Amino acid sequence: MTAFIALLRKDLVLHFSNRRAVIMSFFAPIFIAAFFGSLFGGSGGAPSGATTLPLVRGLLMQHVLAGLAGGAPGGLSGGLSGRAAGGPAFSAPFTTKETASTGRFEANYNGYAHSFAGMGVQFLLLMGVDMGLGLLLMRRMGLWQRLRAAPLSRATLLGSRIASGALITLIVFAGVYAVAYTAFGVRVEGSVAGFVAVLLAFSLLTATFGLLIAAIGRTPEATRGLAILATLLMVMLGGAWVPTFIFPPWLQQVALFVPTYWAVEGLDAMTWRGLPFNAAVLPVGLLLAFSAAFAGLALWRFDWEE
Amino acid sequence: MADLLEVRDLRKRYGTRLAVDGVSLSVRAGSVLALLGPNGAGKSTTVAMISGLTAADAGTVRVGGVALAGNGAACKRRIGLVPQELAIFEELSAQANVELFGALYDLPRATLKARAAEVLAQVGLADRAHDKPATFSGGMKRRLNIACALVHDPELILLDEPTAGVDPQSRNAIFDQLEALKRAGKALVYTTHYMEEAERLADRVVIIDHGRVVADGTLPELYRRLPATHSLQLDIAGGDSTLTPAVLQTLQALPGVHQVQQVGERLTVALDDLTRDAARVLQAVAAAGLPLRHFSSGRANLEGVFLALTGRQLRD
Repeated sequence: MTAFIALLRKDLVLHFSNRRAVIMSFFAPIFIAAFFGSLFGGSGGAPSGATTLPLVRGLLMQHVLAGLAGGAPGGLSGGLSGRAAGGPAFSAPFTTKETASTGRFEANYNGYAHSFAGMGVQFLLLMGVDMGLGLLLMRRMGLWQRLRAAPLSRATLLGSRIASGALITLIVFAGVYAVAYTAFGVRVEGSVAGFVAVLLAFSLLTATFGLLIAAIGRTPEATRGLAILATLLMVMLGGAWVPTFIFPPWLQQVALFVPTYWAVEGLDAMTWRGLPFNAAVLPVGLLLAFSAAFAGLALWRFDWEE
Repeated sequence: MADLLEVRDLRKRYGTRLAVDGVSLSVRAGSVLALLGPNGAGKSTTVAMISGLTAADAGTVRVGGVALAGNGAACKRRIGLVPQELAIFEELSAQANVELFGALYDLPRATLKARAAEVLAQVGLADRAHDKPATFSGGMKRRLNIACALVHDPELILLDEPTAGVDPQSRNAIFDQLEALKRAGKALVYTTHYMEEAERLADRVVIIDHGRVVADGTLPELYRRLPATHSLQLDIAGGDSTLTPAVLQTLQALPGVHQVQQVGERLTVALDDLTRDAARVLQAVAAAGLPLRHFSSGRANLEGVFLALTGRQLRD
């Protein structure tokens, strides 16, 4: 246990004494989330921002018009072709109403809530990549060799790595949300326990993702680019940048298989959507399942030979 | 005294390459064994197998009579490994580095600080204990690298090229520390491709090449494998024109002369005993009227042993 705690403490000290790591994992998501949050409605209580509704309205319009052009009665399609030929303008057969999409009637929409969830997930996963690359660097520097020369079990060596990765992620994400709470009015409108459970599950996911990168990577240089690309694809598909409801239907189905979707979904559900603990169960369960899969894959592929 | 480390017939293959092919060696407490060989000879792989980092394909390792296989943790507690790389955390202080590696061996917290201070003093870093290695010279980092392996007071210390990239002054400081460890009864295995290091430190030398032990013995035992233990180098003006076959035959026939080699103007005469035979050679050169420009003497070294055994230079 002494060794496990020593390794855990070492990782914490190394991370929080690394200025670059702190900036990238803590300040970067705050700055970018603040920017996107202001674009997507800020904390005004309803998604009436300058960008969000026109975007949604435009997409909705496109779908309806496409449907009308494809299979609608002749009069309507004639109207469309007439417009294309410079004929009479076609008007939308519906009106839009600006309504806050929250799970609870009294819960207020906060544009920052989604952006803090998305950017937090993105930058903390990138931090997980760095943790994995850190292990590859330790191998190169002989540090891993030295740790392995000590009378430590594999469970202690890798377990401490997962525990420290998860703890760092949890601390940083909690810090990011503390700023979101105090400066941007983000509130946990739903279950606090559910919110904590999602954070814990995501922290574990980040740590095991980092371990997986260390297990399948050969050198830090060769691994870095691919790992970052994989991370960005995951956060993009997971709805960390823009909500998945604006994705085409097939892409929304793909997103269900991406762990980041469940992290963002869970955090959204517990913050601005104001849903109860039950709504956190599925995201937490799936995040834990993904974590187990990552850890299993990492253990299977981990090279213990020097 | 019983051997602290016994290695028998170790083998390791990577794909089609046999990295270690039947290496056997032993080390007693209070002695230094040098594992000497060129880069890629299999020294580091051998050390990795002894320290339990790499599983051997065949062979046995026993530490203090206990087999490494099946008793990894117990054996590892008795071993201190100094990796070839600078395996220290640059962002942690010297003291924190040593304490961390001590904690991995479950040293109680109360003794950990005292023990860390002790080994830092031992390697001459007591006054820099709270500084980060990023501010250290290469030699100081090397000494800290060694201190981290000593904190749990191991009986057997494996040093994998511990002076790589170190200036001569720091190297001497490291040698002094290793000699102190030897006097304290530790068993040391020291891998190097510098014959001077092996000659200075080792009680016994194992020469390894292409994964195989090509020689094993004390320095005098290894030198006896050479045709002669001394040599005389003579620079004769004129080279081939003056060093005729007849002159070379005359020198070769002198008592105590083992071999005469001529390369250009340089004549190398291998001798049994320099003090006894050199005068005889110089008299013969003078009698033949050879224009001698310069002469120097040399004694047998491990480079010569390696050359004689493998036909190659140690640093090829």
